[in-house]
Amino acid sequence: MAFGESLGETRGETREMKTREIPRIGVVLCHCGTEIREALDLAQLEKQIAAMPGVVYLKAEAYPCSRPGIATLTKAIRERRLERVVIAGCTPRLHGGLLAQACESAGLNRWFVDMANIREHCSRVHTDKARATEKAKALIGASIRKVGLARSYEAVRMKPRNSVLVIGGGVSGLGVAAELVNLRGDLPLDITLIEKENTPGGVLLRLQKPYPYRKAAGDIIKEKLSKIEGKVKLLKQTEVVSLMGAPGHYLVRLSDKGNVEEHEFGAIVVATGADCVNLKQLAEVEPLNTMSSFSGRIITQIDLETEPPIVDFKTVHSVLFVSISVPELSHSGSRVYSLVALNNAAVLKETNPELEVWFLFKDVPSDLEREFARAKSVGVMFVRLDDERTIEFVKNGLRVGMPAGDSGSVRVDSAARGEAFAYVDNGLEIKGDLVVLPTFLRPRVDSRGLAERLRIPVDAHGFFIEPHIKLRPGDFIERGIFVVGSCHSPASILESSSQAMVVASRVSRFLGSEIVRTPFLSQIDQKVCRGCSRCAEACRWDAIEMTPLDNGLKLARVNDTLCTGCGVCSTVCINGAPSLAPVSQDQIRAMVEAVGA
Amino acid sequence: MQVDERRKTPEADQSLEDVESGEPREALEAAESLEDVEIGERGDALNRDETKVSSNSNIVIFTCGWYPAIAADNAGVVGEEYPTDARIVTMTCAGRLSPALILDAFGSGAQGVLVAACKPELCHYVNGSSTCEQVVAETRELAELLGISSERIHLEAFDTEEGKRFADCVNGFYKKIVELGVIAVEQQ
Repeated sequence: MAFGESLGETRGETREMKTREIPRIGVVLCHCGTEIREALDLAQLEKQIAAMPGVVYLKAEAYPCSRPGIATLTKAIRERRLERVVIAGCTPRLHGGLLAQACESAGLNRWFVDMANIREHCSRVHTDKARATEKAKALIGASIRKVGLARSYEAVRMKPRNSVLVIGGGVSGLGVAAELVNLRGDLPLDITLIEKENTPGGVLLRLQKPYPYRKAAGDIIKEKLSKIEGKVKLLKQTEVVSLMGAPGHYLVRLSDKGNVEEHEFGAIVVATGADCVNLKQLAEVEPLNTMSSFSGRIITQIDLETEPPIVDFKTVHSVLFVSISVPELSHSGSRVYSLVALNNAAVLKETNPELEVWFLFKDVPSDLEREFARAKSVGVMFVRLDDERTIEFVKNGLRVGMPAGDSGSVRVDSAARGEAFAYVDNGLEIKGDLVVLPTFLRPRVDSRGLAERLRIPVDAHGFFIEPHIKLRPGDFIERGIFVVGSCHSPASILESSSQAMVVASRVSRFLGSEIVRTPFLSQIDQKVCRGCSRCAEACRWDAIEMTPLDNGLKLARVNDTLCTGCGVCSTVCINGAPSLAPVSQDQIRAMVEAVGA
Repeated sequence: MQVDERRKTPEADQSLEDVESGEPREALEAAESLEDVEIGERGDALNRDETKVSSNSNIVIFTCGWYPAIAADNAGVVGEEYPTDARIVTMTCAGRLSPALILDAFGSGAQGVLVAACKPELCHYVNGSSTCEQVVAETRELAELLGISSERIHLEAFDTEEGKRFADCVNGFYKKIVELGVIAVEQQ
């Protein structure tokens, strides 16, 4: 801290600098090929940086991120005895890790290295060369001030616990558990699966023969259960009460029919699935106002698949499958709904050939070509709708409205039998006595509560979301918690199963490797703390405890395992006692001073 | 500038060995030779340079290190221009921004503070963005008391890939700050 304090005071002109305490700072100025060199007046910039306090080494380089560039840097750190390094160039997200690692290999602490972003934040967004150079100087100056005040910190390394908690006993949760059992040969692992209901199976328990399986859904569940039997601890009627701790060492309180017990897990898999929206709930969000004029029956896809069947097809002549999308429900255009509808239409026509099956749709995902062809080949009739060709319910079926001038060009694939449809004024009327709407999935009512307890993010509708759909599928921002299945977005059984494989492999990789925790944790300066407990009240993670002292006062202490490093405590303290190591409030203040002036 | 005087030192030529061709030699020479300057002498070589382009509408942009930082980088990737007076300070989370830091920015000469946070539902620390909202609201009140218009403090939520929106937002805010003029400080 010694040099930090003294350097922090150098901003005043009259103050003296304690010479021995200034760190030796090296600055690498990247040209990024010619990009930065062309945009900024580098000769001027170099002069100015060279004049900054503490700068003992300045190297302009075309590519510091290249192998020779890194070699030069590490050599300079050793030979010039550099204590701090600032690399001015591109965003730290690009080569920050690489260059910090290079500096570490030369014996410099990671937090003694900083990158000044003079490319994305400067050269690329400004055209006025003189002013951009001036800004670059300020940005590099800020980084120099920042590293000047830096202190060294080591990352915390630890082995995660060899246990997994799977939340949800649906096809996804069971799939993850089964896959983990498969991978168990590589890794000794305790797997606990908790299910809210009395029987595992989730939505699948209501289905008969889901696509593409040729067996009953109940058998799929049984098969998965038999795989995990005896190898996975299955807790029924159990829910998560609270979660504490950090990745690799989670302390989870589980409520088993009211009995709350604490367990420790290394990783957590969220597979809570989704709720099916029934017709009544659907009418609430999407009032198909003409629905009441329809004399036939309206059901959703899941009613069609329910075991035992609720519709007697001997009394039905014509079934209309209608694909609608409901903006109020997120993912309402998901391919799952098209997949289910196409498959059900095909199966229905195959099993009841005399039945007339119509399929009214706007869009079908192109990867469902096979299912589409199958339905078409068995005689399902397709009517394509669009924004202008809208549907409305009439007494005997559906009427497809057509815009004026569009005289009967609604394409009806396959010749329909009998009097099933007729062209009327401005439209086409299709007779039907059963209408099947999609069974939409929406987040479980308690998903937000669970998100709160597990501190994981949800989207605007309540589905859990991962940090990056392509780069980190199945992960959450917090490493150690994973997501699978319909609780993320509506997923078919096949999709859930493949996601389960992905997540199981990610979990076992996570548990098999060492966890490196950054030292980004709150640190409370005990000399400054007055024991007002504002920080303890503000901390969402209960990571700050007030410890009483002998003299009756209290002192705030941070529990490192619970601290997530958000820094909220530092915003509420009126004395400025908490600081987020390894970038302290003083460092940010110094940066603000450098760029604000 | 004092450093200029000390450029020609014996070791300067030797240190040029690691200069790659095509790089500005003179400047490098100057820089490398700094090594030989005694630390004591360096102490007074503070960065008080005369070449500063005068500017009186500096904006400090506090960006959260997660999505908004990526949005800010994205502005550079797509090449959306904004004024040079807008300078970015990246933090781990907008939630650690204290009123003191915002007011410090004004103290060091900034005319406006733009806070770029994550969308609350996407906050890495869950409650960072919402804390930031409160802090900014409080600071705006504090600023008014200090005679700084609350319009000079602005909070905006960004997602990744929103480089254009980031630049547009900075441009809009900058325009407002220029309209507001320099903060009037009463002379004692």
